[in-house]
Amino acid sequence: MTISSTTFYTSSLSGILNQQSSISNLNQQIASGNKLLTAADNPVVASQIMSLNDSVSLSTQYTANQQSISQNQSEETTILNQLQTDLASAQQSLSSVNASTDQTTKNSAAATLNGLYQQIVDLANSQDTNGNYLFSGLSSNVKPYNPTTGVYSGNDGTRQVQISQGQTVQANDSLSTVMQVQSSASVNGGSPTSTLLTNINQAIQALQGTTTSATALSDAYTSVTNALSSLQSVQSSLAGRQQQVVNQQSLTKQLTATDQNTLSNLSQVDQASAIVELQLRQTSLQAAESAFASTSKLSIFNYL
Amino acid sequence: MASGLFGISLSGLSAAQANLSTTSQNIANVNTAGYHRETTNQVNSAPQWTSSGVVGSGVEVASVTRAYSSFLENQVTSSQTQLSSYQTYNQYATQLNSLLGDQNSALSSSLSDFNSNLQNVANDPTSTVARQTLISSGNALVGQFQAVSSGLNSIQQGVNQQVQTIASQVTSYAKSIAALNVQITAAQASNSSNANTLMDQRDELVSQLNQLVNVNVVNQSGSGYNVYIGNGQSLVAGSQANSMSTVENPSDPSQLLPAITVGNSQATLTSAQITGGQLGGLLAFTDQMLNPTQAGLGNVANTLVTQINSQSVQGFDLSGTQGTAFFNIGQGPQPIVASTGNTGTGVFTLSLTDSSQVANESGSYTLSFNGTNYSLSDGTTSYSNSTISGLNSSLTSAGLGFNVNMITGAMQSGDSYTITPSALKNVIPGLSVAITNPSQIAAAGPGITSAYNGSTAGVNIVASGALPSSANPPLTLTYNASGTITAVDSASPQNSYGPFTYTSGNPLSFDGVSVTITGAPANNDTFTLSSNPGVSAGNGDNSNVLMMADANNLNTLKTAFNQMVAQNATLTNSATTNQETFQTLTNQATQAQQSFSGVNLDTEAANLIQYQQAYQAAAKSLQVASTLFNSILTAIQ
Repeated sequence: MTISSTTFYTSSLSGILNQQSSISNLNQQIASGNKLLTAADNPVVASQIMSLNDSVSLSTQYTANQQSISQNQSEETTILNQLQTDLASAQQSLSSVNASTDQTTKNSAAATLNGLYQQIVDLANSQDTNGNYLFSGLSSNVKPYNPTTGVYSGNDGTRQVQISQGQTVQANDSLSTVMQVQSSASVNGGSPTSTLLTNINQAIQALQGTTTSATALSDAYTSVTNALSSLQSVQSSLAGRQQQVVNQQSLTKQLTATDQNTLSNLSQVDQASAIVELQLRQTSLQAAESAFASTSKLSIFNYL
Repeated sequence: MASGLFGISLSGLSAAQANLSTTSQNIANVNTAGYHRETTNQVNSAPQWTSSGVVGSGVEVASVTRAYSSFLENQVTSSQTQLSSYQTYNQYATQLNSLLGDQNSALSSSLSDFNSNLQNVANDPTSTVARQTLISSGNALVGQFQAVSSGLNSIQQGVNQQVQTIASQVTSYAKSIAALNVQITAAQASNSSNANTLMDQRDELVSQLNQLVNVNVVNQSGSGYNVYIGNGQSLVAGSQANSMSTVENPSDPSQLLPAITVGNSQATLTSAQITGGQLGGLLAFTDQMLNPTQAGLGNVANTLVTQINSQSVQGFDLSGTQGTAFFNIGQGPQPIVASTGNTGTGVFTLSLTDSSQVANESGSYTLSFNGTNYSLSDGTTSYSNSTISGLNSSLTSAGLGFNVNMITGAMQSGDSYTITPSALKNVIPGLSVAITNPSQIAAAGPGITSAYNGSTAGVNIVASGALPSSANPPLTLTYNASGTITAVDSASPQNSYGPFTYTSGNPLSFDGVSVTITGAPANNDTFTLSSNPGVSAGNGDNSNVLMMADANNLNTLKTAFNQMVAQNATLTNSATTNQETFQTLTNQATQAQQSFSGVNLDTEAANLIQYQQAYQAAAKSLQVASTLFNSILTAIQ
């Protein structure tokens, strides 16, 4: 077949240009570390990459949610443990006195109980770092327990936090069983009130008075004992949820690691093989260039 | 006619000269586009009868012809027109893909960010910082949608401009071809002048024209080339050239389509008729990628806005005020509009099953419910089913390109919605974040209303909190004489809570609800808990924002978006493959054509020597003739 002179140049040139464009692609792949420069390079893999990216970004958010709730849970655990200590101390103080105990001991028990009362109220009115009340249910800007009257102003709603695609976990607890909140309907005067606080308060009054009511002391003792047992169920429910979060954390971590591994296998270029291919292409380009340079010199006109 | 030795030698000289000129012409035009190698055809002059027999009378140049094969030329133009179509398609496809961000899209990460920030508000509903960040990421998301959308618009404008340029170029080529037809016909008729150069020019124009738009050429003897376009619309008929112009696409005025004017009638050309050349590439790109992407992106934005706004208005902000829409939708037609007389609460979005189909629809549909059946009608054809999923199946099998999804609420008998797929393109430009004050984000859900349905005196119920987001209210609580209370979701009885031990005055808590019942209810007495749409559950409640952050919502958006990117990637990938195929075919065809019609300098160099020697030989025979003549002159002196 006759090769026209133009064809000789254009076909040599297009060969060289093709080699150059492959080299440029390889260079970009090596420099960016990405196997796919555009989604069109491999639509199937690109679409896998997109869904893996989405899954990783969701997992990242769930990890953040898990961290946030797990921090809240540790704070709450500390508070509940302190509350348990205080209630146990109150129980001990109450059991150390009776109606016929001498006034000095009673006064000292009253002082101890007074201190514990303040601490219990303070713990029940705990705020998080953002100033939200932990135990006021959904009315987190409302101080739940009135320090003097024991009136409860919170509600018992709970907040859920998403810790995985199908799983939410309760983010806050109510202390109303521990504090023995009686609903407005059963309390004269209409406001729900903490029986625990009322009873401890009455015991303090009784201990400070000259004639001590044995009923006030035994009511307070029963209240504190019930509070301790209710607290235990709040604590164990919290511990259960902590465990749930910890389990989910490790699952999310594993899933994220698997996703990221697959993602890097799919999207990242194998540097070694890319560099070998680059060498190969460079050699072919050099060969094409030198072939062009030597054959383009050939012309009968050179001999005329 | 030459005769005798002198004459024969002279004819040889002039034939060699003609050959040398043609060779030089070939060498000179080695790089001229559209040039066909020329050959001087020489013939033996008619011999003369003499007494001593037949003696030759020299040589004459019969013609100079060009090496032209219409088969090879057609091979080149037909593959070249496809090649330039795919080149143009790819050029725009690459722009569009990088605008959407390919597999690492900025828009996709903005969607994730927005969802993350909704979750962060849910984690800490009273945090002003989290709320402020949510507003910022809402603004960023809208900004990202608008950046992509305006990028798509400028691609559309680029396409329009190129269609206009091509239309005027086609018109000017048509005029030139018609003019050359006239000149060539005249030259051929006169038989005196050589039409090769004119024919080269005309063929080159046809080849250029083919790169703009695929045409059919019929060579009619006596009048030259007739050029047809599209479904046989005449662009050039002999000396008559018609013009190409642009008209607005009737189903989308922002898009220009080519049209050809023949006499007084104008015919609009679409991608179905124009399948090659740059114009074919532009029309195919618009139909397959640009319009579907605009519709698809509009649908993603519309779905997002509908999901967030419909949930937002059900909630309460930090101050306990009923929530308002999070996003503002713009002026102008919207894709789904609820009829003002609707009594139901249904909120609809669309999912696109075939966005290229949807992008071409200019009409509207009415979605209605008569109490039994859901129906969708475009005024002539109606689809109907007792369930929405059943309706969607018939929409899919009818090839409508979209399905309807009721994302919340319910339709009441007589409710209707107007669905205008073409309005999907208008969603994004008008979008903005409506909420400016962080406290206005409706993170909290509605509070609870409780009621005792029995008749025992002294029984009372108090409830607080928010109904569980998983529940489908109202909830029914039933007292059992054995001393237990069980709560059951009325709409979905499989969701139940309890049984709880009943103690008068002791609060029962489950899934965010706290209920305190006092008194002594009778066996099987019931209580009802329903959400109280007028009251907030409390500023620490996150149940509403948790619904907004629902991962299923995000997945719907991401899936739609990813499918769009993947669809575009697949189209671009196959266009690239086609481009490579047609590049190879064009190269092969061009090589074959050049092999036949092109100039090879080595051949011409050999010819040059051959004709030079022929010239020298003829000159020598002239010299011999002259010597002979001189001999005679000398002899008779």
